[in-house]
Amino acid sequence: MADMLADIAPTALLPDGHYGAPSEGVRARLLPGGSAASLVARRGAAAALAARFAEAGLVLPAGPKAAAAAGVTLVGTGPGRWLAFADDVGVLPGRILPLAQGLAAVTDQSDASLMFEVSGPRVRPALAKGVMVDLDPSAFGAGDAATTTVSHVNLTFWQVADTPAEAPAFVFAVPRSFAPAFLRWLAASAAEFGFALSGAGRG
Amino acid sequence: MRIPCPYCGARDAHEFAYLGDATVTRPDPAAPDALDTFSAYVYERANPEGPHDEFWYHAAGCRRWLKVTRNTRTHEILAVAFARAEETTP
Ligand SMILES: [Zn+2]
Repeated sequence: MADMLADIAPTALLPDGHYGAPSEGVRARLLPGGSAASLVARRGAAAALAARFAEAGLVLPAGPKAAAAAGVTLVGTGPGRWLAFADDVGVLPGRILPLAQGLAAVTDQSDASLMFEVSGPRVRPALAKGVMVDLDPSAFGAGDAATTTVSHVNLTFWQVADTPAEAPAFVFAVPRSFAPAFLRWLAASAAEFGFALSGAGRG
Repeated sequence: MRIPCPYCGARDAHEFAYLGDATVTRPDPAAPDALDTFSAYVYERANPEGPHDEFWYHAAGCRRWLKVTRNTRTHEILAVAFARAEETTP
């Protein structure tokens, strides 16, 4: 499979197109840029923070889960720590800051990550080549999240909440400068099942 | 070897950084014998066979320090908890 990527600069994203086998076993879509923030609760303040978010119609999950509500996805990355993502460009810190006042530190993470939605009938066997977390439906289901290392790239991913076990979609938040390496790994891993990439334009 | 992180679940050992012995306690730097006790605290380590308490940092996951009881003969993990006592799962 090395030949397939030989003429593409390793420092650039792969261009949109079809890679490998003619079937479409795995699909990946680069999601349009939105806004992101990290949230770290002050010591002992996690419960009060979760209550304040709940009043605002948002869900701060306890544990490594992703919860989408009111246009914001909140992903647990550690005890008292979350990543927040929203489709709206630039508005997320404005929505999160008032809720965090006095209870948590908020850091703007917009542009830190590229978001890839990965799906398709053979998505699990492709991801298993680099994801060390067990993605079998009995171990990892809709709304489950993990912060881990995939092919040497440290990232956070989750299974989209409303996607069923038989047709899961995963979102990978990949540190921007590592995204070309991640995408090369994904294309090489998914090529035997046929891999369709969209959203990345000419790479 | 896999370490069952209390937050993240079972993860490959290479996601963690190993600090070492979790049984030693930092001595009082103002004590008259501080030079000797600090020397022992920093340098002297037993090489136990069997269950051993040690600190591991989940560098690639939740970024929390864990206190892990590991059997040094078999790598069986006998207990795992957050190193910071007041830290709970959420
Ligand atoms: Zn962890």
